[in-house]
Amino acid sequence: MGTTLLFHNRFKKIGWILILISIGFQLYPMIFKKYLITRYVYVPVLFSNYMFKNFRETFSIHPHDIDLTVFLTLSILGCLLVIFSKEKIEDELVSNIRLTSLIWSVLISYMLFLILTMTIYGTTYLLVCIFNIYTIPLVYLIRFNFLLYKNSFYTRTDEQ
Amino acid sequence: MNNKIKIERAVNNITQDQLAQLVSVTRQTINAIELKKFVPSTVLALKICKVFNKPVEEVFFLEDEDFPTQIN
Repeated sequence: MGTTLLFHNRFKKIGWILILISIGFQLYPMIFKKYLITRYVYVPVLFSNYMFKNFRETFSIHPHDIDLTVFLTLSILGCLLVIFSKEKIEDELVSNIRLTSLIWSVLISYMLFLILTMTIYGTTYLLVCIFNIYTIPLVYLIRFNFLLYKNSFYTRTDEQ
Repeated sequence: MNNKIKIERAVNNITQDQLAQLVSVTRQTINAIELKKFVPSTVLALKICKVFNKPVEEVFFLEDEDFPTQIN
């Protein structure tokens, strides 16, 4: 009955730290009006092109703005570690809550995406596509932790 | 599915926490089973019955609502 596809519990903390770093990475330039790292860095490029520019490159190393890349990489890695880490005691109730939360998150994410696809047009739709990747982890984490809290609340209030 | 875990715990003088430790689950899981919010797996049901030294059907039993309604 083991859930083998989960990381050790300590990775959950690492995941939260990565999420916080990625948020701080985005908030820092907004507050202090300067960037934490050099934005244009030589990176391996599989494919890149820009709108309104006659520019295209494949399989090369070129300088690119890595602001969004760093944010997305850190936050996605963080979300994955938080979601796929075991609880301190990972039993079948937790596995059950995990499964229902995952079903909820996938369903809500796709419903939301469907509604936004039918109602949002233009370049804003690109932002919808990018930020929709956070709907699944966000809904999952809210639902999962809410159910865990609800269960512990019932246990606290229940007599021994 | 209903169960008599709470009664058996009282008979054996075992707390939710102690039972949880004996069957390697959290106290929340035992509580959820007692409140009929969660149906345990066969493995966990057998482990719980082993603690009480009772056959599984004496601790866990089906109710009418577990059977689908018959269509005449």
